[in-house]
Amino acid sequence: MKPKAWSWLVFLLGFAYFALPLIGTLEFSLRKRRGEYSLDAYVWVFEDTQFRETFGYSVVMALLTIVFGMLLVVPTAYWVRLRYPRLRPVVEFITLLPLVIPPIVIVFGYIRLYNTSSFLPMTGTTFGTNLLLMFGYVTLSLPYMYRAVDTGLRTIDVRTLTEAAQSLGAGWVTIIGRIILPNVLIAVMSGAFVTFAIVIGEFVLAALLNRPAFGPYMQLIGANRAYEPAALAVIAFTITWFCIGLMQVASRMTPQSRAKRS
Amino acid sequence: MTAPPHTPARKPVLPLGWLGLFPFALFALLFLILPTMNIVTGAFQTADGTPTLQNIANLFQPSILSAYWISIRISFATALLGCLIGFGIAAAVTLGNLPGWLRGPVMTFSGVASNFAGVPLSFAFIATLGRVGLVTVLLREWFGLNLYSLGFNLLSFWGLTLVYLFFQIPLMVLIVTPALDGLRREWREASDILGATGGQYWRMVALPILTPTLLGTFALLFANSFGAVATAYALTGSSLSIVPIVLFAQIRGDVLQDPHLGYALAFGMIVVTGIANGLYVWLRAKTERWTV
Amino acid sequence: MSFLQLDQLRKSFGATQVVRNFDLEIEQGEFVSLLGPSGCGKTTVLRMIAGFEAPSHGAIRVGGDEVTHKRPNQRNVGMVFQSYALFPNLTVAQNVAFGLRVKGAGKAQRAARVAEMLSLVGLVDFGNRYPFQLSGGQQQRVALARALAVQPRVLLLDEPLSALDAKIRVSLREEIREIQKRLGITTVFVTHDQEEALSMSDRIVVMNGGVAQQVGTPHEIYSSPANRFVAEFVGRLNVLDAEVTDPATGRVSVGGTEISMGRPLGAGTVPLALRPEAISLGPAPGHDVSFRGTVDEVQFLGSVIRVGTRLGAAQVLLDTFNRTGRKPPRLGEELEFSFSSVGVILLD
Repeated sequence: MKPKAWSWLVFLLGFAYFALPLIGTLEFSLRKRRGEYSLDAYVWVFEDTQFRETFGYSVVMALLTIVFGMLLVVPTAYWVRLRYPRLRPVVEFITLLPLVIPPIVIVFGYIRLYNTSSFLPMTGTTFGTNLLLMFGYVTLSLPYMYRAVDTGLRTIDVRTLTEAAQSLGAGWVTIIGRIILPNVLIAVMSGAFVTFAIVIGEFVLAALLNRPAFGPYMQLIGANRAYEPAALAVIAFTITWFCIGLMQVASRMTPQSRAKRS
Repeated sequence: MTAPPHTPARKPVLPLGWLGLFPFALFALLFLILPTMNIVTGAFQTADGTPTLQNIANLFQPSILSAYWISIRISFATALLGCLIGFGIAAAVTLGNLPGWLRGPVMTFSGVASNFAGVPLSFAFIATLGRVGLVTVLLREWFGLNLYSLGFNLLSFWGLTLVYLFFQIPLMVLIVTPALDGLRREWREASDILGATGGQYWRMVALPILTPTLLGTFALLFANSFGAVATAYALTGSSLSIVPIVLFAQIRGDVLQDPHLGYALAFGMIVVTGIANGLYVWLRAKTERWTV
Repeated sequence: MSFLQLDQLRKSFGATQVVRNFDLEIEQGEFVSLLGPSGCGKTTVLRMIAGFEAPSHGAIRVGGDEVTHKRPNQRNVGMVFQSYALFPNLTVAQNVAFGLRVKGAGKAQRAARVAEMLSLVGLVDFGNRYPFQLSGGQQQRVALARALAVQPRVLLLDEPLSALDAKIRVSLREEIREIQKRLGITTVFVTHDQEEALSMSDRIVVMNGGVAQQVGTPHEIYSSPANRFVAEFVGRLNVLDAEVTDPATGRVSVGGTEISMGRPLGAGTVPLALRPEAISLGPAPGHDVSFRGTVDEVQFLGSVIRVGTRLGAAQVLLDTFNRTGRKPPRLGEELEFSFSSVGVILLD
């Protein structure tokens, strides 16, 4: 059948809306040198030590968030599927709460609850604050992580695999580490890439907990410089694109996830 | 389809089964539920801990009310437009017979753009529609059209709406495309062969089936936009008084002196997003009698 | 002039021709089955009648009106889908009333018609249920009621029984046939199940490779298949290679057993076919050919016992009724078998 005219119209309008800001940003980021296009803004950014420090900080944070999030989410999702299927809606509801409660409210709660005079004075030390920020990121990524892992678990028969492993004498650590995790690894990876994309550019938590992350750095540059912000936006967009692209590749690599999607 | 429940021949030996959920429960309690509860209770307490409604009453001052009002309007507008336009694009890709290869890139791009909120997004729009942005300049040079003298301003209600749509529309596309795929071809054919027009099919069959998804996405987009700080902050600084920015400034100690007003502000945000989602749950229950 | 005419229908998807020069005339009130393996084009023919596919060539006429290029919603044809395709958001009654509602029929008229249709399919008390609350068989009966409610000129059934359990399948096919006869509605039924086609149809069109291989009554299709494909697709078949011993009178020999085909044949070998039920244990009235063989297979199927032996190089299976007081044959037993040369099918 021939494409309908309206669908092309809608598509092209959408394309223009989404392409123009990207083209505009790219063009703007090349305008630093008067009268000709140059990569000067990028050179400035990459030579800025603060860029390297904050970017490195955010990358480390993102990786820690992914590791901790996996350690938290995979056993939980597995356990719920295996032993407490009736609790699944409850757990799912909790993991979706961060989409409903604005992040700024959550971090406000952290600041009030874990300040220096509280029962758990996490904001008292740099390490404690870093930890708190990481926990905050895990909370923000819960909806994506849990869904990805749970979808991955749905495609394998958790109970049969577990029983087979048990009948061969495997312990719980072996079962989760050697049987379940490899089977949902691709699903976990797709959750991980989204998490990475979220954490890298995150602003509110880092700003309010006063940590030197990439998000607040970008904001600072945005307030003080002209062309470099556009260069940063191009960099950030490329990173996001890369992460999500990897995620899509990962999710396409799960053949079962398509066949069994109900 | 889930596998039918079956009792295993040999029950796994489980040392304290509930312990398996303990880490998650503890985490959710410490970093999600307690902080939120802290805000909620704080909103009803004075500095020394006695119960009061004064904080809530203090919300009803013109500057804060107008912040809520503009936030709600922006969230409503971006959620509504995001739903409509996102639906249009998803429909074009799934039902409009566009070339099949377009679909993969559209979905991938939607995944990227829906996560491209925050500081860099505001940079992108400043570089495009700011006073010296590409589109602003080109419109002036090619068509003699000066956006800003026509009253356009990126740092306004419509400006912010335009920016927010950049992540709202793709989110809708991501959610509604599978739902559109879920419309079975046989429903359309059955409707056709029974004499219905395309419009009748959409009104009587397809839209009622999609309604729960559409409502849910609307509530999600609303909350998504209502809580967004970074984009607006990087775009406008503190000049546009929407609730999350007022709260952000308050937490930083810039503007408001009373921390308990901050609790009340945050509590108000929970109430608004809570109502949006409550409405969704209620409407969904009303419209979805036909499933289990 | 027949009621539904398909005239030289052709359909290609890209380079593949799925339907080639398909001609069919169906009388008013007739029940015609399109039978064939998957991919034979039967569903495409049905979808062209419905208007979901446009023929690449040819014409479709219903009651003398050319409908070839009409949109599906202007053809007044009813259709029942394999997957039921009930609207999940509407109750049973609303589903049945759908066609009348979109035509703008009044409330009272709709209610009366819905009640009539639901009683026709035996679901009077189910009007307020939603499809998900019904079994597959019930859903398909609602789909039938929905298709019939608008009083279509032609009813199309697209493998309506294949998603159902074996038992319901049999009872529903009887019910469909009975309703069809009562309403006298012209019906085209697509199936890959020969038993369904044989038991329900006035006429069967056996299709393969987009071409109608044979059109005829169930009895004709079964007893005198026009070609090898039809013979093999419909029913079970023993295929034997026979040596022509006398081309002029049509005598052939299979492993020393002489059969007279009663018509001239070319020299060499010819393939012959025998239905399992055409062979009997021992002599039988009218069976002019007999041979001795060793039992090499016995399948006990309840009322029927399937016995295998060899005739010439090939194994032949025969079906014999299980009679009380008579022991089933044993493996290795040597017995006499017989059949009638009239029952031998010559494959081309």
